[in-house]
Amino acid sequence: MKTSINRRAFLKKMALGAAAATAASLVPGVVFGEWRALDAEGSDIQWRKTPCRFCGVGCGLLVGLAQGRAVAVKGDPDSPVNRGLCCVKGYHSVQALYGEDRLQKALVRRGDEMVEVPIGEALDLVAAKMRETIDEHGKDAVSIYGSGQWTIPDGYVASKLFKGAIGTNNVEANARLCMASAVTGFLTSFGLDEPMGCYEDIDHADIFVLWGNNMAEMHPVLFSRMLDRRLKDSQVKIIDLGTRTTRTSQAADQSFLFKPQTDLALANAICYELLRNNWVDWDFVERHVAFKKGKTDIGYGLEEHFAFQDKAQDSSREEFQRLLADYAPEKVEALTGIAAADIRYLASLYGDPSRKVMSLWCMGMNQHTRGTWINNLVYNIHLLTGKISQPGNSPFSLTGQPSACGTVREVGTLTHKLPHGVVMNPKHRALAAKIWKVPEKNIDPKPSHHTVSMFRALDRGDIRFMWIQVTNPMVTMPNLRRYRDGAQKEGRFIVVSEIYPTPTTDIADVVLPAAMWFEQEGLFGNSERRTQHFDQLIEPPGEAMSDTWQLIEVARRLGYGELFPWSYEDHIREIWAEYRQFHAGAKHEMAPYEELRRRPGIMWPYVEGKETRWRYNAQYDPAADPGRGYDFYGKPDHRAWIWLRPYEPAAESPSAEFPFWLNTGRVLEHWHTGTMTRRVPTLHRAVPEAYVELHPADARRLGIAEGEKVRLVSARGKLELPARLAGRGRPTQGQVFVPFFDEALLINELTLDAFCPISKQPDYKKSAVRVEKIWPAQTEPAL
Amino acid sequence: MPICSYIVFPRPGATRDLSGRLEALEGCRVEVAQNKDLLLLLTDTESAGDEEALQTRLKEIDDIQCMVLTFGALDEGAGETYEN
Repeated sequence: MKTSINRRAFLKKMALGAAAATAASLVPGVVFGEWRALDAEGSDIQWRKTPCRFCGVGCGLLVGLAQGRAVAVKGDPDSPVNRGLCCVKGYHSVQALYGEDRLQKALVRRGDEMVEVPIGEALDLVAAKMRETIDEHGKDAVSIYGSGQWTIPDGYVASKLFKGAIGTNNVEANARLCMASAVTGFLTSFGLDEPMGCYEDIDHADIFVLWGNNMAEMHPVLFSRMLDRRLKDSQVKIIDLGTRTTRTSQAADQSFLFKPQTDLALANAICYELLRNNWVDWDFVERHVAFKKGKTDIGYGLEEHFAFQDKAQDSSREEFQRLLADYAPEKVEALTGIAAADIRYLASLYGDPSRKVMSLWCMGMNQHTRGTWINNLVYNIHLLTGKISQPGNSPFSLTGQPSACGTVREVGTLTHKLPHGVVMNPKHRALAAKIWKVPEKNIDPKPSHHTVSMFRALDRGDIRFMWIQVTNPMVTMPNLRRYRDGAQKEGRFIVVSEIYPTPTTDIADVVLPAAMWFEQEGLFGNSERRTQHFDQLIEPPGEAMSDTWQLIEVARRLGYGELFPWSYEDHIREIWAEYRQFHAGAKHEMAPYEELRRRPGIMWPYVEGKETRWRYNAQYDPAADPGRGYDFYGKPDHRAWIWLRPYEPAAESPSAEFPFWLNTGRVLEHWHTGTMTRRVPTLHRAVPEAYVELHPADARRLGIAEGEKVRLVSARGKLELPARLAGRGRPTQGQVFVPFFDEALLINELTLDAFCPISKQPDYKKSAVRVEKIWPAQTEPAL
Repeated sequence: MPICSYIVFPRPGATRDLSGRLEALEGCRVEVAQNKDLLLLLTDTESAGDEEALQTRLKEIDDIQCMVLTFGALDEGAGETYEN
């Protein structure tokens, strides 16, 4: 049957749908009778649910389908995450499926050329090359590098193939670059990963403290929810703590700018004030908290074979107070740049027992050479005041990617992790071996390489084969030039599963065309422990195939077919049923497949048909011991740990040669490296290229005008890009900011590959650079 | 051939008059909320110039307290149909 649908009619429906959904979020309860009628009229469009894939918030979308294409998007009013609202990326999201250069055929390198081959032939080659590499160089010469945009089944199959079948722990994901410090922060403070609270905290909190977190651009829907909360209660305040003025600062009630890296000192100074004023909930502390200290002066991971293991030692309240004596607000003022009176004010907000406080953070705290420590220190504040695990009292680590939590953290696609627990623990290995049906000895008890280490190993030749899925490391790796050169050395074999050409496919030996998002069935897990299922809604183009199925095809070619016996039609349901066994029990029970298919996401632990909204509080959490009230059961002593962590400087600070801090990050319109959003015309036109934000006073001193091209130089590279003096963000004097989405302007050629020694997460926020005016040859002043 | 949508907040008491005034403009379609003083405005114009001219006229209407643009497309593929 041949049918046709007019494009303008679709666009009009999209336009009205966007307006109605936005109106519903601005004016809750508003009803448009005519629009409802029009929607019903449009029976040629079928609306199906899916989560958005453009950040970690996990907004529910309704995608309009017609004639086998996704033609419209509106927010899902039934989603408790976004209640019908979307951001600009969400509303334009489906257009990312239809870029003209979408990869539809497999490509294989023949000399300097990439030639199209049938996907079956490419998969044969991938399997043969893996086998050859293992035979010649050992199992630890092969690796996989995935993503927080992997679906849960993608990550699960990758982990089972590499850790369970092949027996190597060379499994990493780009969430190492964005969330690892959050993970180690949770594990060291509470013994279990992921937030104790949920987005509903926003509806109860009185004070929001944003630690280095530009939520207005990075988590705009949650930011809107926060603004809505403030609109309804004039006592609600939003406090922005950052190193750069952003759109978030502009909407905040107060904005305090601190010098890079000194958030460590600021958090300790707040604790100092809490103790000095006796704003501590001592009953809570005595019943539920233990004091611990770890190693100090722990390095920055810059040495080739850097290794570090922290060791927790018992400490005490008295020792904690002695540490804090160095962090009186007057002492910290000079270090941080925040006035002592303002530090005392911040402490008073946390210390007021009548106000509920939410702290929120993302990359500012996580991409930090002391990322684990600053996570611990913010938890310290909440633990001292007892403001935790209650509606509205919530330290909340936001996620950058749609399934950094669901896939990387919960499935455990990091070198040391298993779907339940860690490779070092024999009980966890035994459980994995039993569920995977592999011999226990297959699972290597020793973690191998974290992300930076893995790319260093590729450069050295310790790793020879790398399969990269759903990520673009040739844009995102810090100190990029080294790792790009390393990946292209003789004897390396790189496989890339992608949807569009990128700088990473440029260095590939095999490119596998991937299905995108709802061109496959899958599941994501968002920032608030919510698992979100999506059906396959449309067919992928050409020979594009889901990453999950690519892995299964290769596993079967390697002779592991009996471990991956699932039929194509039913494999996601089967994988979920197998994976779910890892999390059985009240502490992490996952919802059944059928429930997930039906609803726009379900939070775990999901116990007896109920979501657990606040963990560790027996009033809400069935895993908590009611006799304890609060039960931090992730730790053997059932206590949360307050860590004694000092301020230590950044790995690299401005110097005479490189006098500026370089901070990198994202913009609202582009998702990560722009592979998808730069192919959406509206988003591309909004921010077509990268730029460097400069403070106007620095620009004046250097004689640089708005839009003028300048040169940034670090010890690792240089880059020319236009200056922005009056853009949406303004760095402090002595600092510049560059977004990393532009593959033509690779800022990561300048960044430093220093990382937090505990989490191994690189610090993309603090490198040292020089800003040079580019003089036309004839006008350059004589030296 | 641009298509845009807006949320329109009328001045108090002006919803009905404003709705009529907007409907009278060429290329405009209005949906009035049933239970709040709020309008959705859909504009469908022939060219970027027409859209700009329309926006200028909208700015001149006193009964509009504020407007929020919620969608905008140039529709460069105007007239295209999807077939299978």
